[in-house]
Amino acid sequence: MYSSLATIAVPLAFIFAGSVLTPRFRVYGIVIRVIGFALFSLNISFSDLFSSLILLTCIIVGVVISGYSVKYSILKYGNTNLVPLLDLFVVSMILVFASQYLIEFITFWLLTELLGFFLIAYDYMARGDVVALYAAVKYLLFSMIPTDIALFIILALVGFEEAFTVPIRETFVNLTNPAILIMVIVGFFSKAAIFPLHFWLPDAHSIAPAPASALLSGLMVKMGIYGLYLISFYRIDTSLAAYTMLFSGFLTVVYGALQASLQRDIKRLLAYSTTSNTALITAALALYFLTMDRVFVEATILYTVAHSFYKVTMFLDSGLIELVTHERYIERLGYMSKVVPLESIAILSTILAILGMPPSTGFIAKVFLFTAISKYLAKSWVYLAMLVIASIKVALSIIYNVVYLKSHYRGDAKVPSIEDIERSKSVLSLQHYVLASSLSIYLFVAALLVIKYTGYIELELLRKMFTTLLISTILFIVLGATMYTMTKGLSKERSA
Amino acid sequence: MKEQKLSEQYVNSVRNFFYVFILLSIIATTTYGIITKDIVSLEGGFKIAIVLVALNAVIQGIQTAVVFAATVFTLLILFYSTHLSYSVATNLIMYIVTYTSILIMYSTNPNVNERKIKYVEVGALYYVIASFAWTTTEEGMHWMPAVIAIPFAAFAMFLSYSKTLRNKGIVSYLMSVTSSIQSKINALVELYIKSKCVATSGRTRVFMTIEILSNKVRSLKHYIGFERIDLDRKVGALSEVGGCLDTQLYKFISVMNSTTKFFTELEHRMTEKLRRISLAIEKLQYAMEHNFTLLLLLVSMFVLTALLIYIVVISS
Repeated sequence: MYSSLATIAVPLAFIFAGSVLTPRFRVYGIVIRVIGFALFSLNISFSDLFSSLILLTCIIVGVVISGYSVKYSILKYGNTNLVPLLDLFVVSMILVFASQYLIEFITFWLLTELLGFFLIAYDYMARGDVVALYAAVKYLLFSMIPTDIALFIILALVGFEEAFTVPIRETFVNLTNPAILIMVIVGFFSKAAIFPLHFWLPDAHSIAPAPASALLSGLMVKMGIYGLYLISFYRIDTSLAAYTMLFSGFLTVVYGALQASLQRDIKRLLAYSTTSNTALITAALALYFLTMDRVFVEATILYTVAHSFYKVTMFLDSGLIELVTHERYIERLGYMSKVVPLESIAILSTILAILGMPPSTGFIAKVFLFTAISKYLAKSWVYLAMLVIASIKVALSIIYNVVYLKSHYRGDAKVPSIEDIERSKSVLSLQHYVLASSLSIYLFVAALLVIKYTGYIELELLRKMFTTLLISTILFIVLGATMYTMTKGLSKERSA
Repeated sequence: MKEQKLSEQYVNSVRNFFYVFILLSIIATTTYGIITKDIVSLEGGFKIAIVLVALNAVIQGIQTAVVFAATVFTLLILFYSTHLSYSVATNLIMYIVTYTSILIMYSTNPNVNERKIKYVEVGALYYVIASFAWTTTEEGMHWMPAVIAIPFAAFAMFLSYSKTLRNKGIVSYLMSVTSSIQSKINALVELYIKSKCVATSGRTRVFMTIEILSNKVRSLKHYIGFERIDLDRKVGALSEVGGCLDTQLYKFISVMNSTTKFFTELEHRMTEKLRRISLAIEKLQYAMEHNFTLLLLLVSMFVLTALLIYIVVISS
């Protein structure tokens, strides 16, 4: 009891101390906060694959955001007031995924939602931007309220005594009544921004400050998927739940991806792509409900993790673009690769990773997902429909990622003047955080393999993919080293 | 300015690095999959091949992204559809359709850089042959692994890009083998374009020759004065044959032109329709979002339903 309390209290103390120090001693503050987030890894028990991996993701994202948010907040708002709010938001999400009992889960969930509301409305609080308040109210009505109703229904069914004493996955919850089940599912849909309660997300995520959007899109929407996953432990009509999730999921996948492809505002594009991706994850989870085959859960988890890193990197990039150019419309951008080449490379590698380049989490996730679908393809039309939808999603994701990349590379882009570049030099250090976030999507695979081979997690398919990952890693290193040597030789020749 | 140019070069070189890395990964992973008869590795190789197509789309830009996306969609559906059947013949047909579709999509796209096509073509061809070899081996046709020699040829083709290894004997031999394969692939791609050119120039040449001949005969006839000679009638007949030939050629060209136009129009129409649908949905969404009454109604509905369920179902 005391030890579990200490694993939360000690990291919290570090983060709090870091937040206090940050305005005066920026570097020390960041270091202490990073240690605080890293200490949260003591809470990972690996008793449940989903919560443990998403917890690990939250910690890594927390570490990246802790550095990025300080600089961003100073550059955009002239102070560090945004930093503690973001830290608290990450901590509350960590606590949601680390919750052992229903009452903890609901409490931290409500706290996360409330903090999410303030983050969306931050521009209203800081600058009096009414649009931010409007987006926050929309979030409150269409995301917070439906989810809270779902949570309170579960709490009412469980009762207070059990909510405090029985572990969350062992709790007996009778959700066999179709009306209640649909309400609970739709409640979690609203958090994951899936049809019919999806429309709050594009406004909320495009209005919030960039690091907040990264957290909202990368981690908070995953709470909805986690909620849906928890339902699988309860007594439910699995067919009803699965078909509801599939119907809404399929609609949202296509709608979100189409909207993303047609957007010209970088943040709205990313927001719509989030709805599309979470819907695909939900559809994969629905197939788990139908088959009870662990491979679908594993695919869901890995895709969730890959998407989290992808979205965090992309939103952090959008924040940097906004700070450098004061612009969000793709047509007016296109020269970022000339100003921040490292950032452009980070974004390219992130996009390739989510599309399935090895040895990244995106590659593993895609192979898991498609292998899982193909395993059941001959059994029912549902899996064939899932294959078609997933293929449409992959095809459309190429289009919207190409559209996004136009903000970095475009032949006819207006090149900024030297004065502009000089002015934006202070912002450029932010690109290192974006690169770190981009690298996480690759390094997570190494972490995953270590966890797997130390016997903490199952992931049977990962064992089969080990050689493939090893081959691609060796190739990457050898090719990289060769290129580096060649470039070095060339530059020596030139200087000679 | 110089710094910006350097930055651009730096980004381009890393992009090319990704290109080579992905291509090598496809070859290595798929070869491993075939040797160990491991379907997961083969699927992995296929997934990496998809990334190669995506990277092409990234480099080519938005004009070609739709074509690349369509390619990816077709590839995914065809590849995973092979899981539905266990017949070698069906698989072979699917693979051939997949490969042909890639070729058509690339050859009808004027913006595609030639060098990039080479990579994708080799990758796709290798993948198709390798997967097919694997499938047939599984079906008991053990002669098929001979086709595995192709990966080495493809690999050697990659080596042909490396200047240092170009002069070594074995590589140059493999290069000649692969270049012949490459030329055959290119011949298929260029067949469409060439046939179009040949048809156009052929038509013009035949028409011109006949006209020149006709003029010559006419002038000769006038010059000699043999008005009643049958030559005039013969030239006329020859002219008619030429005319017929010309009409046929013209028809052939128009069919080809219309096919090209059809594909381009289809692409435009699809994009336009998707945009329209999306705008209509967005309008509906906008109306929904801004309708205050609907908003209130929705919220009160949620709260009331929750309360009712609690009172009627749970409390009882």
